Amino acid sequence: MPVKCRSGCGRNAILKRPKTGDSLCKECFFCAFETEVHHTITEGRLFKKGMTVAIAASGGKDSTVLAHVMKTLNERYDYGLRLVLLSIDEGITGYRDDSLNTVKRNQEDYGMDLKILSYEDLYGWTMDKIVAQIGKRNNCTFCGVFRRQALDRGAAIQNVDALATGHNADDIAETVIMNVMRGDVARLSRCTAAISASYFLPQESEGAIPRVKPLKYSYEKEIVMYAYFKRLVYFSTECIYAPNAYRGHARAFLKDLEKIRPSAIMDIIHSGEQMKVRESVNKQVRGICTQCGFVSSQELCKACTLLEGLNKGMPKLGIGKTSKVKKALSTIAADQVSHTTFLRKISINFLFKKVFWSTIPRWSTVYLKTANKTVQFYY
Amino acid sequence: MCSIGDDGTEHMEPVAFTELYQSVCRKCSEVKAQVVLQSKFAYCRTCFLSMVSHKYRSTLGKSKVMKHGDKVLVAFSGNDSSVCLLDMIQSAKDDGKKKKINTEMVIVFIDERPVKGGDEQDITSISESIKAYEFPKYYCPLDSMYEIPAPIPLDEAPGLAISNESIEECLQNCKSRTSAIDLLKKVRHRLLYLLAKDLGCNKIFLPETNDDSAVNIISNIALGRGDQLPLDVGFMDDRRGDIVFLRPLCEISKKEVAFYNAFKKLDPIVLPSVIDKVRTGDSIQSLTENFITNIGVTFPSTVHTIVATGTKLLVDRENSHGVCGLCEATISTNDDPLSSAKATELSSRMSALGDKSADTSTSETVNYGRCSSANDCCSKRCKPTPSLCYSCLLIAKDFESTETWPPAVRRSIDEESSLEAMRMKIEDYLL
Repeated sequence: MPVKCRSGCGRNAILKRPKTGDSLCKECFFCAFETEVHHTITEGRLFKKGMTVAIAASGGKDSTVLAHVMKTLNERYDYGLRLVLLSIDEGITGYRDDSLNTVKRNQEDYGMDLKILSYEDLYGWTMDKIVAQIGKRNNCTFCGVFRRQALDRGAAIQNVDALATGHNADDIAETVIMNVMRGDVARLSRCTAAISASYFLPQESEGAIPRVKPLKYSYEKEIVMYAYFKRLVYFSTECIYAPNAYRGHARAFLKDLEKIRPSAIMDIIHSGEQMKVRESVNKQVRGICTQCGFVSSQELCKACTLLEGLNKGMPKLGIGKTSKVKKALSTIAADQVSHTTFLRKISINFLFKKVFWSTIPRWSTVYLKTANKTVQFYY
Repeated sequence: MCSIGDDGTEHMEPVAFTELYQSVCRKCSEVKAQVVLQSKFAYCRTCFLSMVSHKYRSTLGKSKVMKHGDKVLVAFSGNDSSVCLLDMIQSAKDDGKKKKINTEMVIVFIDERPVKGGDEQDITSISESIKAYEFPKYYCPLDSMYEIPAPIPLDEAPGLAISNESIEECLQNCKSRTSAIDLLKKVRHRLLYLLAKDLGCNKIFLPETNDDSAVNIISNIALGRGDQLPLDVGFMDDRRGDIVFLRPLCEISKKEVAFYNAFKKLDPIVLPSVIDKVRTGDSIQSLTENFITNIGVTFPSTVHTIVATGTKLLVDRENSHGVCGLCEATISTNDDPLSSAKATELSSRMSALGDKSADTSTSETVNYGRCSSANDCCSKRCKPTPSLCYSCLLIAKDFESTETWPPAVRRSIDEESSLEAMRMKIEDYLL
């Protein structure tokens, strides 16, 4: 005998929701999934009317579903957003070139603008070349750091107000666990936020574009389910260069937890949101890189450090401790540093100390006075 | 999108194992080493023992919580770390150093054995094994939580029959092993607290090691106890105010304990527990333990890093109201309109409502654990609003009803609930 939908709509249920264990019919599931994302967007005040939002599209399940849901909700609830797609080509033969085709199909289906930036153009290196030089170990460090900055640059080129990424609940829970295991207290306290903290950076720096995570409370399994029943085709091959053992353990552990208690993922996020870091612990102050002008907690951002290492034939440079990097960098003569690969150089220097950011309403214009000039930016 | 490396670089490298066979102790540089810690530090027997017992003393010393005239209840279960803890207490008492803080110790053994399968011989072996210590020793079965807990001198215990029927029945009713383990832990802590009160103690020593802390941190995060982490895993747990729980072994690893016991020829005795019979299989706690143990093989620094992260956290007492009736930690309030708890609440409501009322559901304020509106989910299940924290509410969900829980726990849940109800009535007038 077929099971009826839990909502009492009278239709037969065709799936069991991974998040709650309820049996639902297709229509009620779509409605629940979309309403929950809508809830995240409205309650988290992720967007404002008239904004242009770039969706970071990789062709994978998360970004494919994100693009579809964003388009649907934008029309249904009249967010008044202009949506564009942004893709990064890491230059991994047999992986990224295939997935980019999926993105191009999305672009046609949804009628959104698409911008593809490649590592080759931005940094002069493809991942294939980087792996050839440093080997498979640690290559994820390069890829992750470069992608982070490439997305910022792409968003700046497209002149968008926010960048939406496809991070789902599983990703956030995994990050909470990872940050505890690595002792990264600064990231621990900000990794659960639905909007990245880069609001307080000056407007003229490219790093000021906020990142939002509309799918932060959506289970990975439900995202796959949504794609399956909506017949959204996505690219689902593992990256050929991803042997990161440490994160792999954490991911497998999380899947085991989910099997025992499906709410474990939400419980971990709840824990992450509730954890308070002691005041006395030194947290990094966010500033901007003196070389490229993007967000960085150091004087020289990680991307510049890694790139410098690659160009100088010292690829291991950025992987170790920050103190060691500084020491190594000080030995390189300043005139040898190449600036050619950077979009533009910015030199604003002030400290973000003792400003009570929580008291400033979101989306207000802030004038910050420094020694010799006043900077205006959105918070 | 690939999220590897998204949140910064991951410079986690497996350790290279160095050849330490036949090497010399790193401390005295004279004697051949007998034990290697963290795959790199080699110690001889004497230096190892003095290093480990120094850790115990320095943990207590630097905390500055021990005062003259303190009376301490030592929770003894017979396992590795509790055997080690007793020996350390004894040797700290024996050595003739000056400026020692005079404290009184009481050993309490809590009987957790199931009615069937726990055999009479074991209690005798427990009392035999700690005969040498001259502290007063007491015995108390878990089931005394269903009456008024009273400690019995350990010497009289061997004649008694095991009487853990009520707690066994309670745990059998639980739908998941995870919740059963969590509930048992909370009940055990409350029993220790009540016994300490009865015996006039103001401190309780728990034999939890560094590794236990790391496992507790990760499993408590998975259980949704993020806000209570500093209490559940730090050196000191002062949530109850008058009596504090201390973990003097929290800087010593499981391996160090094992070698300490081996070198000192101390034998642990592990007794069966009621929990062994409840829904065998995996639990969040056992999965976490496996995970931490396995990852510790290739990345030995993981345990230390996790524990260090734990010490950097803080209990947020300002943004909280009321006390959880089960675990007695404060219940944190979250005014953020967007939170995991509210999203979960929304999910279950959306599943129940379906596509009929998509628009109304998001505008309503969602308040977990407490009933803000009279919609049907609330009026049916939780008659008086249960005063439980996020995570203890998850335990309660795995029980048909809390009727089988120990009366003392139920009473305090009721008390806290009515206090909370009072508070909500006068809320507008509170400053």
